[in-house]
Amino acid sequence: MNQAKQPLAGPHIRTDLTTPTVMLDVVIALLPVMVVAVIFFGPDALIVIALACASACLTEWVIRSRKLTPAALVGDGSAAVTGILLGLTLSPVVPWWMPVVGGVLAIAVGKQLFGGLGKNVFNPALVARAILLLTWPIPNSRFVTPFDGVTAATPLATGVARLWDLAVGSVPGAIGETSALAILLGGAYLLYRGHIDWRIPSAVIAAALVVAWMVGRHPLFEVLAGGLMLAAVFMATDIVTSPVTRTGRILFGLLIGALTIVIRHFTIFPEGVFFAVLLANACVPLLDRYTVGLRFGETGSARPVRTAVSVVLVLVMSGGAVVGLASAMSELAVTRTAAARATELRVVLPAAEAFEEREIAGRTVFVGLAAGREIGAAFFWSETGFRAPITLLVGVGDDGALTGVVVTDHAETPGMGSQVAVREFLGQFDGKTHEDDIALERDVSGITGATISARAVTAGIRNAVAFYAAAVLGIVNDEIKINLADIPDGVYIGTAEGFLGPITVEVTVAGGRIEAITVKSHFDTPEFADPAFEVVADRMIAAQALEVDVVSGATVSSQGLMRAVEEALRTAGAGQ
Amino acid sequence: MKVKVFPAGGIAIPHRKGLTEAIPIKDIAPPETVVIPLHQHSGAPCEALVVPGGRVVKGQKIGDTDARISAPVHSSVTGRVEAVGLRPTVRGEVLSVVIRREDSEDSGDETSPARSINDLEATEIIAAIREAGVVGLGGEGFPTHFKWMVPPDFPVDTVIINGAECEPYLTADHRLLVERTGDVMSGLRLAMKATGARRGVIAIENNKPDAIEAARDAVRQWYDIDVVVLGTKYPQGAKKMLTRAVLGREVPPHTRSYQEGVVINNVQTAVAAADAVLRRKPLYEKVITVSGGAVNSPANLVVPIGMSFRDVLSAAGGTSGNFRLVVGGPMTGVGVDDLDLPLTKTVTALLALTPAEYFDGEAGPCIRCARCVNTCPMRLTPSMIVAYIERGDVAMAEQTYIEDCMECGVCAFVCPARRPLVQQIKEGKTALAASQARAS
Repeated sequence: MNQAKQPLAGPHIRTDLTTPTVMLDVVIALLPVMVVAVIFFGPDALIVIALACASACLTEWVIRSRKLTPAALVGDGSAAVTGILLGLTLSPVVPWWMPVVGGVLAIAVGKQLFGGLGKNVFNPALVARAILLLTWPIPNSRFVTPFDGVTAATPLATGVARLWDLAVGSVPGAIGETSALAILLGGAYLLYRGHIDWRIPSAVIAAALVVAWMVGRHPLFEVLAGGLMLAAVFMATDIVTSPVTRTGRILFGLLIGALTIVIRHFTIFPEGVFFAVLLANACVPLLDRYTVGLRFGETGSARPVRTAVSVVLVLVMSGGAVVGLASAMSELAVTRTAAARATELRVVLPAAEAFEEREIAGRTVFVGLAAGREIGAAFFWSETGFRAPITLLVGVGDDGALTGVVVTDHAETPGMGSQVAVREFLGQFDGKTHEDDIALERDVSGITGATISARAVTAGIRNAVAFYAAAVLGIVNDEIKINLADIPDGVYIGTAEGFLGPITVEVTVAGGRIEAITVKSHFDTPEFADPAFEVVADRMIAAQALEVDVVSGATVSSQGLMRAVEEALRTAGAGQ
Repeated sequence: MKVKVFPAGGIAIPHRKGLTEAIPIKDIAPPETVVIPLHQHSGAPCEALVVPGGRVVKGQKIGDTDARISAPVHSSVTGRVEAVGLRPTVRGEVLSVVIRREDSEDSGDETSPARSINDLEATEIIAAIREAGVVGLGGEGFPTHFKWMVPPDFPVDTVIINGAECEPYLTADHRLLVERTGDVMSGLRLAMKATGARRGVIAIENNKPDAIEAARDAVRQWYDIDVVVLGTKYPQGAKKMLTRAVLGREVPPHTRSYQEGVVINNVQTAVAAADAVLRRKPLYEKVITVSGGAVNSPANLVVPIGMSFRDVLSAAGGTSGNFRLVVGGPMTGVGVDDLDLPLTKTVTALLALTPAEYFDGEAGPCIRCARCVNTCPMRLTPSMIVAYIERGDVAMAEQTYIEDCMECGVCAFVCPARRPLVQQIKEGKTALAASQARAS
């Protein structure tokens, strides 16, 4: 005992909780989400999760450890959690290599590049998710319906879904994001185990509700649809990348909730929550530093001032980032001037050497001339899209076949709905005539994430070609003419495509009049469609007409009903 | 019964008090040699009053000083002074008196008749306390006479006897409350008289029902003394937490309790004060808990100051197997390798913890879970403070209030990454003090 050693400071006893047990608890909390995902999307979902998890763990091992044992592979469990979370943000129908590449990106770029566990600024799973989405946008924007796996747009893209479906999760979407109830169950477990702070998810949801209401979106829909719940409970609460102070956590949550709605509303991305979390992650050091609370026994007001300053700073910074992003993206939106029209006319009717403006059937038509002969015509046609009318410039040859089409004006979401303006989509219609049954998914492919817009363009082209056939070529499709007086009394069934599926109606005709219209079945969102059906049916009966005004907010459902009635009466006529 | 607790922060920790809480305090055979450091308290060290070869009797004053903040030191045995010189202690090398015991009935204890508190003046009490070398025995070591000399511009309204004993394993205060309730009461009344406080409180955590019962019986005859039952929460025995729990007052940063009208004394300090004033018995022995899984016969023992840890452990039946010796409670005590260090006035316990009981693993990286932030009773942000210390930024550590840390150990206890936060904060405070010294 020559030299007294430095005494060892306490505490000499510790809690049972360790980093690996925290990670294990997160995995346990994710079980309900994974189970629900497998129920809705089948074993494919589990394979995606497993690949992401395995890839993340392997990457972590390669970077951090030398010996390959099962224990070294699992490590502290943080890589497994990252991998599973990444898997949950992917579509169940991504190619197998997507989760594998994602797992590598999450651990290598999202985590180890920053210095490993605890040092990473951004949520590693979301870093990978963002890189994947921006690098391979198409496979990462393709989602399928539960159970049957039919390609379909997410509720955020279509804007409609039953709230109950959103709560349960029986809607198209990423593996782990659809079921709000399963997510809340896992969140409850994490709260019970003390691993997450209720302040973060509460603040995310509260801010999303308020901002959605402010910008005129359905608050509850915005919260339940897309990845907001998954992010609020499992991503924003990531212990490494969220603030450590209570005030900081509230501000952090509010920032995510607000940014999510801002991104969804003002940018090209229908889903913004993952970007919102990443942006908020970047604000964490600032939030932490300026939200250190009052010490024990401390009174005063110096701290709230600093907190307020930091809030303003954070909001200005992130607001600026979002506005910058949005304005950069809006330049992609298609705008046309009159000067560009000549070019467009030549595009849609390439054979014409000159154009002559005429009035045909109440419509301005540019008749195409070549060698002094009329070789076809081009004209504007409008059809209701997702947000507002889409205006097409349609070129039709003298044989009635489509020679070309461009979108001249639309108000569709830049980047998503605006994809209808691209040549790859529009080119599919070349050569179609009024005799072709021009319908989406049957003879032309739709656009993922832009179902409504694509459907509007398809209908516009179909109607424009029919107009040309009737007005210029004098060809009237016999079938279209339905004379009510000729239809015998009876009850007729007809079906036509609605918003989300076929609408089947029963039409009662008596004494040459439509007496009643009953919708027998439909797949549209009841909250929107049911009242619309009632109004449209009343209008049709009152006017004894097949074309009446649509109900706004349910345009496609209204049109579907009218077409179904028309179809019913057509069968009646055919049966005669 | 409604219990009182401090509201924010703090944790429930395992008590592990069952080993000793029901066993009466035992006397032990005195050791052959004692090494009595002359600096066992906060404040100035004492100068030796004896020389090698001289004879001393038990209770004889062997060290004193004229400094205002200090306390004299007394011999715990009768015998001959072998040496006066620097000896290692838990606090480093300290001037100490080495005494070899001789079998003798001689004692320095005065056999003055028991005195009544009512007949005493405040100055008499304070003088007697100082002469007996009484210091804060809960581990603080602050000279009690000086604590009771409250400046007149800070009127003290309440004296609290701290019977929280919130650290695991520790039961000495518990046993004293049960076995020497009368002396605890006397010590409290002496403190009230010395400080002019109108109210006395004995605060006990509710995991000691027999102590609460005994204290309640004792206070029945005093209208100005209450027993306050505390909920069990660590670190409720810390002075600021106790003041908050009992009186609802938060003592501001860089402020002492008396400035908020409160004087707090440990249970054993009250007993020592009663001994000192009423019986003229100096503080040369104290009751400590000797416990832990490696101790063969865990017990609360009356041990002479200056006895080596090794001798104390032997008096508790010796130890079995590997252990870490912790001086003090497992939360705030220090681990020492050298069993030959002497016991001082501030030691509350000797714990021989088995490897299963103490933690000795690797620290992982901070995962920013914020458990330390959520549980810090001082409402600090330990993870941030430590992050600043790690990158050598003492200025930011200071701005994050490193100096407010009382090193209670809650942050390190709850850390799932097993980070040695208290150790790091101690190092940070040292670095901060060094940088402040450079700046001035």
